[in-house]
Amino acid sequence: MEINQKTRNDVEIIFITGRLDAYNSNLVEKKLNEIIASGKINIVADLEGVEYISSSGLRVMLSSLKKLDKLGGALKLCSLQPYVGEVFEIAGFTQLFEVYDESNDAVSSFSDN
Amino acid sequence: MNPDTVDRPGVDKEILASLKLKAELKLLPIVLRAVRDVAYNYGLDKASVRDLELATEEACHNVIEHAYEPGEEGYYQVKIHREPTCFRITVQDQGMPFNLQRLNRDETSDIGVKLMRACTDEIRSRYLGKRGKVVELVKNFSFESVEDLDVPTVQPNAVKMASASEKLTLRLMRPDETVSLARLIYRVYGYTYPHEDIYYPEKFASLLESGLVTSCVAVNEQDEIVGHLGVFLETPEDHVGESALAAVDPRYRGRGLFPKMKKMMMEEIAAKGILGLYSRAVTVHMASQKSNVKMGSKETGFILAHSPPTTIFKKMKTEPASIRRTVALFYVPVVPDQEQTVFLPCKHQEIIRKIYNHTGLSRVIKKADPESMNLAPHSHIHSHVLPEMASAFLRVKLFGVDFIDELKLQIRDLKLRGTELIVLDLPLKDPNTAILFPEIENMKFFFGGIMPEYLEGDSIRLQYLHNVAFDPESVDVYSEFAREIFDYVVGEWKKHNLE
Repeated sequence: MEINQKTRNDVEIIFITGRLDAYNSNLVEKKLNEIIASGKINIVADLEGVEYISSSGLRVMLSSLKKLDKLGGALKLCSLQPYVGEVFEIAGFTQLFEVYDESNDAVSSFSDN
Repeated sequence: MNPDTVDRPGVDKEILASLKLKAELKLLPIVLRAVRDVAYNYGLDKASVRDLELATEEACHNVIEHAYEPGEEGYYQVKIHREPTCFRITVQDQGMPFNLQRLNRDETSDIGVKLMRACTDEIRSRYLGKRGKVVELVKNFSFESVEDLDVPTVQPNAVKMASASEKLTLRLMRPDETVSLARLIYRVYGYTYPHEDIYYPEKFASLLESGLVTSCVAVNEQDEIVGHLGVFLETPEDHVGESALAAVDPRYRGRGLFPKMKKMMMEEIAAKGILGLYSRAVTVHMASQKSNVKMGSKETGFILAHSPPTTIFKKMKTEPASIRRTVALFYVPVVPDQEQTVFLPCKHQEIIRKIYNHTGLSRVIKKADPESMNLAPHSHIHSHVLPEMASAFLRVKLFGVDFIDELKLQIRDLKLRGTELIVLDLPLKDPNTAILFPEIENMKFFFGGIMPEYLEGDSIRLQYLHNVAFDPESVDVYSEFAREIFDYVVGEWKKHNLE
């Protein structure tokens, strides 16, 4: 599992590569919690490098979304692989998250609001 | 199927891998890796492997998180089974009992359960007494349809009779001949044959290799299949097979091929220890029923709204999707029948006696004593779910104290999965069938007939229709006796569904 971070237009982008399963998801959770604790509340998770996600990965995303929502921020997603997109769909999470094709679109959507 | 599959001579139900692990998260990747590698190497396609892996992760994670108290040392076992048409993963633990029913509920809040259900074709969960509990995850193989293969087809109408002097040979079919068989079936039935397996040559080959299907073929001088008759077993332990896929190439009709093939098959399966053959004859016309009667088979029941149009039908849009067809049940013994004792539900005694008389089967009929009801600690209900048919076939192997609850649970789960027809077979040699029968009927199951020798002895076959329209007028019935059974079954359907 590899997690890289970039800041663009005051939006934090995390690039996740690997499997978002029960074993690895806590690493992503830790990273998201660190970002939120540092006061950054507009986050984009780029999932281009994620080919597998289970309910553990989904829960991590949901819990961060809820935290950010309370703080007036948001977690937005981009570049989902087809299978990962399907899993989000089955879980009904596409109703909860804003999903974009590319990170640029996700980042600029924050300034559009 | 995955094209790089390893060689699997004589594949039957087999356990490919068994792992026992401490219930700790850090060992979970080992299980997932095993599922991934084994399933892929043994023929499952990439997308299905991922589905199976995801469902397995959810089941195992559940055990790791909830089965044992923090600090308690606990283990769980994962077995990977390959069966002729599916992969089956079992996850068993001896930890804290928890409510397995939640697997069967449509809880929107439980994401893990939602994913498990979406990624599998079937999920079963059972308590095993002191041996803990087990969750079973089933993923069916997706086979390539003959429609997708580059198979030249002959239009059914373009028939030129073969020379009468051409020599035909009868023999058992080889697994490498399934495409040739699919062509024959196309010539005879187009894409209208209700056993969809036939249009998936690889799947059919897998069934032949496993021994679940035995096929007799008639071949011409070019070794082309021009006649076929198959016998299907639902499980390797079955004592009766289903006679199906009878087809004779229109160019070779009028040579008595069908009776010859049936005779050969009866001898063949009798030698394998099979006691009899049953068949399901369509009722959209009378030809199949007539042919069964002619071959000595006897009517034993009807399953209303049994088969939906095949998915291939749907693709071809030949019929409205809502039509389900009724079938007549037939039985013929292939070895001399042995007398046996049966306990009949009081309500249906008369019709069942008539069916026994009609079939010529000798049965000692006894009355079940409710005082002597003897139930096991847990029930065993075998299920065979056919999602593409929106149908499920349940067989009761053992009545336990939890039987009614277990059955209710299964019905609820099947209904949530869009199942329209549930067929339930109950053993008539077990007095519990007769004792529990009124309670089972209260659940809207209604009488369909009997299935001789189907469950280590005869079974009474019940059916349950969920959101299915049925019109008795759409059914063509051949014989007088069949009409009597059909009217009886329709009467029962009305009582349980319209009143």
